[in-house]
Amino acid sequence: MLQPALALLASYLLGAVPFSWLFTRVLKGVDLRQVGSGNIGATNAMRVLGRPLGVAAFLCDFGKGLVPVVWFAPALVGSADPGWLRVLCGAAAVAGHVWPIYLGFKGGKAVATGCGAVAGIDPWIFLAGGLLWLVVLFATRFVSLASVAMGLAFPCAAALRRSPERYGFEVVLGTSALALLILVRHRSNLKRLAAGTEPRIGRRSGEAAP
Amino acid sequence: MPPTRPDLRFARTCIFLALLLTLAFRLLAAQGA
Repeated sequence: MLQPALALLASYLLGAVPFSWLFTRVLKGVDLRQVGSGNIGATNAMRVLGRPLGVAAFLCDFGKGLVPVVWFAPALVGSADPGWLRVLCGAAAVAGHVWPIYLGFKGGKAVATGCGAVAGIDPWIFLAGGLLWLVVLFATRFVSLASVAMGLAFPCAAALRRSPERYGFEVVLGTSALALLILVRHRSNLKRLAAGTEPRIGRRSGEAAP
Repeated sequence: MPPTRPDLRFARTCIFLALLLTLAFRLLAAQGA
């Protein structure tokens, strides 16, 4: 009982490390919460850092979802199949990113870290969601819409990939919870989309969200 | 310096490198197991 609890705690504490915020703070002396959309995620970090460092910030946010699932859960539980614990560790990392203890529990929108957790559980689910994200992004140029579509694709892909030798219902449940969280965290973006005021990427007008 | 606007190249690069990172971590984890 102690080892799973430790795995969850370690996952939360790693997930709570605000890499995008740290990158901009250390490298540019800027508080990410006070520029652009005010979000501490990778998209906003790129506005301040530029593309290469923005990508690095994204990969760190992605990695903090990936590492708990791939390493913490199996390492602390041993060789027994930690299927359910992988999902819980991923959820703890995402919870850390969304409600970080280091930043007064005001965090990001669960996209990059959620992607990392999903990729750690089943890379094919991430690939399916990632491709949909790119397709929606290329078609509409709305990052928020693409992220919500990707979030909704995860449980669908997990349900299709579920099999006795691969994993059980816990992955469908976990990805459904992630989809709901992504949806809720993007509610302001969705309101702007409905109002027609959500900015598109690659355009100068309206330098705001996500 | 004006803020950089997120663009499609940024999105493509992120997804591609995330897949590579996933592969690397899973290979490392498999070797450690």
